[in-house]
Amino acid sequence: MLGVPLHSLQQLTNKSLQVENKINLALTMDGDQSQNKRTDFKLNPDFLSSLPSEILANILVKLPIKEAVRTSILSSKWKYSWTLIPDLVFKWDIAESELTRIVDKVLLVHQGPILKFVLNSCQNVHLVAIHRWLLVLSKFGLKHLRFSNSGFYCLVPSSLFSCHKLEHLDISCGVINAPQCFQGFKFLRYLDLCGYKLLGITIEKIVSGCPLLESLTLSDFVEHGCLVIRAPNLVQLHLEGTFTNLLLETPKLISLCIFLFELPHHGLDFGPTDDDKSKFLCTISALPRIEELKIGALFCEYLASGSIPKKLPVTFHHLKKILVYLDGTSKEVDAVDAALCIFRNAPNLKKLCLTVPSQVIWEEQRITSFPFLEQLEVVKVLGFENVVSMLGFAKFILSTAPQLRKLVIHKDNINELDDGMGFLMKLASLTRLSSKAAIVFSSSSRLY
Amino acid sequence: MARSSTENMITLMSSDGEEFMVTEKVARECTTIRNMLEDDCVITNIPLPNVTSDILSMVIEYCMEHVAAAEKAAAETAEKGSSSAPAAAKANKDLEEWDKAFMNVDVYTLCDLILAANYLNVSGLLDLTIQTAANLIKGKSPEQIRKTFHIQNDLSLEEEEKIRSQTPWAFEKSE
Repeated sequence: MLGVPLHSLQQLTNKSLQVENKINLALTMDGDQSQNKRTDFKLNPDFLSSLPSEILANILVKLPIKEAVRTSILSSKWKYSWTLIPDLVFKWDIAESELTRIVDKVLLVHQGPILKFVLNSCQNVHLVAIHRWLLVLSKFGLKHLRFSNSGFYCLVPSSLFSCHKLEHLDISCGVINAPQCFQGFKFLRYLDLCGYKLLGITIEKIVSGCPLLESLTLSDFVEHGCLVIRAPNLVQLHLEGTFTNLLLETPKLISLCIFLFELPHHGLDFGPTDDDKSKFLCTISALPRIEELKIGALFCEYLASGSIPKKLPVTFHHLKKILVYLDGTSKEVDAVDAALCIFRNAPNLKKLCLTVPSQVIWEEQRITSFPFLEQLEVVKVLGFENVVSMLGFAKFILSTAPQLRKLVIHKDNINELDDGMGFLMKLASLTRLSSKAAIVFSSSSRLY
Repeated sequence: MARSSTENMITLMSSDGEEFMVTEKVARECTTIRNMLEDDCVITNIPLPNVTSDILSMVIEYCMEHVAAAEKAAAETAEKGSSSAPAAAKANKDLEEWDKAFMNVDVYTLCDLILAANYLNVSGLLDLTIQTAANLIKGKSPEQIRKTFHIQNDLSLEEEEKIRSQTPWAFEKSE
């Protein structure tokens, strides 16, 4: 244990509070009266109300905004306490006319600073109102802004770009107007745009204007042509949308996630050329720190279109974790081949997560071409339905991965399988190369 | 675990003249003290005129527990090369339980702890105490909140009605 105070703690907590303060103390105090003794609660039982207002605001900010505002009727001291809360989160369903009125009023009486502003549904709020709010918020030093809409687009005026102190920006379904001279967000670390439309600016330009950006998520978007991301400090990149090619200048990128919504087409019926694909893969493998790769079915399909190279021109030396989400698309067998093609080129892979569509059979000759198993420690399989192929896959993994610690099989209900018990017994009897290897079922309902 | 003899000890003095000797590491959990130490590294005796002995002893207890937990986690990581996720999760849960038990205090002590954590700038303790206070308010009617914290309502019915009418949306029943 570490050092103990001169007096034991128990002794002290029982000690009387009447010890006189004999020493003149050097430290000066800010604000409140000296607490030579603890406050006499009989004289002033309402101790919470006498806390400094910024502390009260920090307590109130932990409450839903309605409850925080409701404390205004506790007593005269509490009347304006809530007008100092640093976070404003409007998350319940309010009619849009009502919402505009409420936000206007709250911003009018708020004494600032406001660090966080969250609006749940603003698709019907007038552009002018949002413009007005953003101007106020930019003066209050806003750091975190979130507009989330479902389905309908909300117009985000160019005053967004006057919030210079933003560190965290999250907009879904927003049509974003850029000002003529975009100066960037110098402090932005986190950017999440879902279903965005940009007017007068490109995503490339926005990202380039955020030198501190660490995490970027773009989803539900269409980029005609090459998506260019230049971000010197980016660690995490999540792309879910349609684009034909990708250019990354992100030397610190660790985690990359690519889900394509649509197969990119060059021209009419021509898929990407092998050259395009290898450029794409080279971009990824050239990332010096990339450790985690998540890819969806269509990206695999993209890699699979045309001819699938047995050996890629690149090696993913740093890749430690790959997650592959395959779904029941028509070309899934090819997609599996493409996924395998990445695994083959990731010699240091430690963790592999796969969603396996029901129809895909992990044929033996297909899986035995895995050369990555030396380092593999954890394998997770989700959504398998074909017992034979699952057993084949499990057999292969267990018998060839010397470092394997866990094979996790996610299945809600083993009983739903044709021969659940038989499957389990066969699984348990498989030879395991690694003595540490465990087979784990992740399911809510257990087989008895 | 034996304490290295070279480790600096610091004496913290409460407003009522009690002295507490703690390791520098524990003292550094308080950002206010850490800043003082960084400004003047030979300082060994720090008077804290804003904190009474009973509250200071609780703050020190909190800091010691959290320093010990962090050291234990670091030692385990060093031993095994990498931290095992389940063990770390359990250690976290244990510490959370400890925090929860530590927060089993009356509202006066809670308020004093908030002030002390704020003054000494112990961010973990400040978060914990503030969240605990917020939990005591959450979901309660104004009358219940007044009762919990002994808040004297000095508003007339008319004044109360006026405040309600300024933010009617906050007083609607449905959430």
